[in-house]
Amino acid sequence: MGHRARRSHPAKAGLSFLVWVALQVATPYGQEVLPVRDDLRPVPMPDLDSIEAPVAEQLRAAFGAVEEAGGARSSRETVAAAYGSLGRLCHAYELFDCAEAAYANAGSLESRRGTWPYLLGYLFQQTGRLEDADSQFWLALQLDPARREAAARRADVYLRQNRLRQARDEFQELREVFPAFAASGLGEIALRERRFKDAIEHFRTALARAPEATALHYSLAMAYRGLGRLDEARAELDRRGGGVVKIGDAEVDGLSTLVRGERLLLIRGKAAFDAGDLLNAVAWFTKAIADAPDSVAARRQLGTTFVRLGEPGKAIEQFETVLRIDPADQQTAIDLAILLSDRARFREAIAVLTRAGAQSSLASATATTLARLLAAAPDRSVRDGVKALELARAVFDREPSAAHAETVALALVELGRCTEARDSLLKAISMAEQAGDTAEAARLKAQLPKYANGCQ
Amino acid sequence: MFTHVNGASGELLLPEVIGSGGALFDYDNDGDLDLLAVQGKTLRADGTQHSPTSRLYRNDLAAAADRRLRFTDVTEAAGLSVASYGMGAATGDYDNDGWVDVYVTGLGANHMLRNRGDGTFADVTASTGTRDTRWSTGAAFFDYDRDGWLDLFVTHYVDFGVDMRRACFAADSTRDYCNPAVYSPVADRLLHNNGNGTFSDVTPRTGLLRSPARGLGVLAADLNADGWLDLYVANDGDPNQLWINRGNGSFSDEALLAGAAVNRNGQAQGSMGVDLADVDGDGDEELFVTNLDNEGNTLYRSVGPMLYEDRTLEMGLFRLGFTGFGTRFVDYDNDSWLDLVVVNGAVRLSREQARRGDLFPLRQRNQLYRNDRGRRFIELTERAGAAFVPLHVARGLASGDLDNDGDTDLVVFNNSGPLRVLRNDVGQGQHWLGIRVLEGRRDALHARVALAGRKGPRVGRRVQVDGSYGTASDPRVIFGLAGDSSARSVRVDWANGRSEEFRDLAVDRYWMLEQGKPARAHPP
Repeated sequence: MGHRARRSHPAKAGLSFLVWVALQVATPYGQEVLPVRDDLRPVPMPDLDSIEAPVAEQLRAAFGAVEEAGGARSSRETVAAAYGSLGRLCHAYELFDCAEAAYANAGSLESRRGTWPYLLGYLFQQTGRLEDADSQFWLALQLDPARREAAARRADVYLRQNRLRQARDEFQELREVFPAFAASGLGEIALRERRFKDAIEHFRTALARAPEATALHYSLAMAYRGLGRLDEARAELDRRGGGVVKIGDAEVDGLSTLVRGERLLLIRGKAAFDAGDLLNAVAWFTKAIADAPDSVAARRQLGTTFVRLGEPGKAIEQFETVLRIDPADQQTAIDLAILLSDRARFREAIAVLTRAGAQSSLASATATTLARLLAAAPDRSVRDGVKALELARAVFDREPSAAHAETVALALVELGRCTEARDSLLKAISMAEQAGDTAEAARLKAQLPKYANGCQ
Repeated sequence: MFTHVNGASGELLLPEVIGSGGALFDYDNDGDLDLLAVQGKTLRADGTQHSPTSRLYRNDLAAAADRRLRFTDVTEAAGLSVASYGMGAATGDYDNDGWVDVYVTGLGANHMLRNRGDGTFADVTASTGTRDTRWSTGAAFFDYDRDGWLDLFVTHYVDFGVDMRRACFAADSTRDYCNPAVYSPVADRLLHNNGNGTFSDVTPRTGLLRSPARGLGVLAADLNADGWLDLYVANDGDPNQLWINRGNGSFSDEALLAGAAVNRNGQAQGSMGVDLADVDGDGDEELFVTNLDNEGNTLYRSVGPMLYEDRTLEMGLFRLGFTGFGTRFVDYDNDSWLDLVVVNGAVRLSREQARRGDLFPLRQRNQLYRNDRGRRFIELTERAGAAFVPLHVARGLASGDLDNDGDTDLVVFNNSGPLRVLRNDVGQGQHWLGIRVLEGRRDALHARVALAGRKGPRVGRRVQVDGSYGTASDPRVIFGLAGDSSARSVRVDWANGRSEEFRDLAVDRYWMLEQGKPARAHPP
C-alpha cells in the first residue's frame, strides 16, 4: 500500500533476521503506522490480507488518506478529519485499538471539537473502561453542551458504576430530550433502591414511549415481583424480549453505515434478525445484496426475514431468485415449497422440489417434504401415492426415525393400505418414545384413530 | 507436569476453546487430595497420531516425611488412561463403597470410572448405562430422590460434529471461533442410580427436555429449602436454568421468576461457570455466574426464598474484558469471609495478542477478589502475587487443601497450556476448623454445615464438590476463624433431612463427622 513509515512492535527490534521472519509468519496482524506528526500516537493497523476484500480496501484507503493528509501543507483540521475517518472505520469493525489511537490523534489535532472525545467515550463505554468513558463524555459536554447524547451515555456509565445519585440527576435532566431513555434509567434506579412502585411507574412510562423496548418487561416483572404481585410479574416475563431503548444518535448510528462486505453485512443482519429487529435485518440484508447481487446467503436470509414479517410474496420472490442462482439449493426449495403450499399452490410446490432434486440427489428433508405433499396435499389432483411411498421408504431406510416412519404411513394411507399404514404409525410412536420425545409420541398417538376403519 | 492439548489445527473448531477441567479427590483414601487432569486430543485423528490421555496424579503428602507437596503420575498404574476429547469431571461415590468414583465428560464419549479401592479404576461406562455420545461438559452427582444413592446430572452443550463445522468471522471479517448460537442446543440429561451398579436415563419424565440450552457449569443444592436437591445450570447464550426438584421425580425451571436466569437488563449471557455460597453472612446463599468479556460476570444475591437480584455492581464485581470460566468462593485468608477467585480466558481471538505473535491469542489473567466483610468485593489481583501474573487460557478451577495445612489451595486447568497448582501461603497464619462429613461410607455431598458464632449468627457452608467449570473440588469444609482459637461447635444438616450438633471441636485441625457418632479427628 506504499506507506512510507511503518514501525514494528518495539519488542521485536534488534532480533535476528531469522527470528524476525518466524515472528512475521506467526503474526496474522499487521504493524503500527507511524504518526504523521511527532506529537501524535502510532495507529495499530490490522493485517489487511486476512480481511474480506471490500473491508481491506476501505481500511487501506483510510490509512492512505491519513498519510496523504500528513503532508507539510495540510491544516490541522484536514489531518484531524483523516484520523477521525480512520477512527470511525476502525470503530465500525471493532478494531478498538486502532480506533482509540486514531480518535486520540484527531482530538489532539482538533481539541475544541466535541466529536472526538464523544466517540472515544463511546468506545471506552463499549469496552468497559468506565472512568475513561466518564472523562471523555465530560470533555465532550464541555466542548459541546448541546450534545445531549453524551449526557445520556454518561448517565448510563454512572448506572454501571452504581453512582446512583449522579445517574438520577443526569436522567432527570434528560426527561425532555430522551423521555423513554430517561424513564427507563429512573426505573432502574428505583428498582435498585427497591422502590418498586416508582420503578413500575417509570418502566410503564418508558414502554408507553418505546414499546419496542421489550427488554423492559423483564425489569417491570422484577418490580412486580418485589411487590409480591407474582401473576403480573409472570405476565411481564411472558412479554419480555431483546429490544432496548434507543436514543437518536447520528454519530454512533453512522458507524454501522460504514460497514461493507457481504460477510459482515450478513453478520449484522443476522444479529438484528436474532434480536427480533426485523426491519433493520431487512436493511442489512438488502445492503449485502447491493454489495453482492448473487449472494445466495443474503437472499435466503432476506426471504426468511420477510416470512417472519408476514410478507410471503416478497419472500417467495427472494427464494425464487436464489433458486435461479443455485438450482440445487434444496433448503431454499423446501422453504419455497412450504410457502407455496400455505397459499394452496401445491402443484408449483411439487415442481420446485422436483426441480431441486433433479440437480443432485434428493436430501432427506427435501424427499420427505415432497413425499408428504404427494401423499397428503389437500388438492387430491396432485397426489401420487406410489411416488410418495418410494421416496418415504428410501428416506426411512437411510435414516430411521419417528418422523420418517410417519411419512411412510401417510403414503400408505394414500394407497389405501391401512393396516400397513397403522403398523408404520405404531412404529413411529415407538421410536418417539424410545427417543424420549413424549410430545411427539403423544401427537402421533392422537393420529391413530384416523388409521382405523379403512383410513377414514 | 500436565499440559493440555486442545487439538487446534487452524480450523478454529468450537471444541478447541471449551475444554477442560479436572478433579481434586482422595482416590486412595490416604487423607490427601489427588488430582485428575482431563485431556483433549486432536479432533481429526487419522489413526496414526499419538493421543494424549487424561492423567491422574497421586498426592504423596501423607507419605512424605517433610510434608512437602509432591505429586506422582499414576495414570497407567491406576488404569485411568482415558483417551477421549475430554471436557470435565465429576466425583462421587456412586456405589457407596467408600471409594470415590469419577465421571469424565467429553465430546463424543463420556466415561464412568469406578474406583476399585485397590489403587485402580475400571471403566464401567457400558455396564452402568452412563454412555453418552453427545457433547457433554459439566456433570454433578447428587441424590435427587433421596434414596441414598448418588444420581448423575450431565450438561450438554451443542449439537456438534467436526463435519458440521461452520466458518465464523469477527467484526472485522477475519476468521474467528464461532458463537455457539450457530449450533443447536442439546437438552441436559439426568441418570437415576438404580442402586445396583446401573443407571437409568430418566430425562424424558423429569421435564428437563422442555427447554434445551447450551449447558456448561452446573451445581446441585437445595435452593428452595424444601429438603429436595435442585439444580442450577449456567448456559452459554441461553437463560440460565434453576431446576426446582418437585420431589416427585420431575423438575421445573423457575430461574426467570427467581431472578437468576438473565442479567438485570433481562438479557441472557454467555455463562460458563457457577458457584453458590453465603457471601454476606445473612444465612442464605448467593449465586455467582461467569460470563463473556463484553458482558461481565453476574452475582445473584439472595433476597428471600427463591428470590435473587442481580447485585453485581453493588458488590463491586462488575468488570468487562475478562471471559470467566471456573470460579470458586474460597476464604483464602481464613478471615471467615468467603472471597472469590475467577479464572479467565477468551473465546474470541485477541487481535492485540495475535499482533505480538501469539499463536493462541486468547490469554487473560485470573482474578482474586477479597470479601470486605460481606459488604462488597475488592479486586486484589494486582497484589495477589506471582501466581496471578501470567496470562493463560484458563478454564477449570478446583479448590481444596492440597497440603492439609488448613487453607484453601487452587488448581487451574489451562486450555492448551500447563496445569497450575497455586499453593496458598496466606491463610495458614489464621486459625481454622476443617470438617469432613460422611453419610454412610461416602462424603455427604450437599450437606450443610453451620459453625456456631462466638457472638453473632452461625456461619454456613455446604459440602460441595460441584459447580465452577468442568471440575470437582475438595469435599471438606474449612471455616476460617481469623484470630479465634477457642473450640467450636458445628451443626450438620444432612441431605436426608436429619440434623446433629457436634460440640467442642478443637481448632486448627480436621474432624470427621458421621451421623450418630462422636466426632473423630481426621486423620486420627
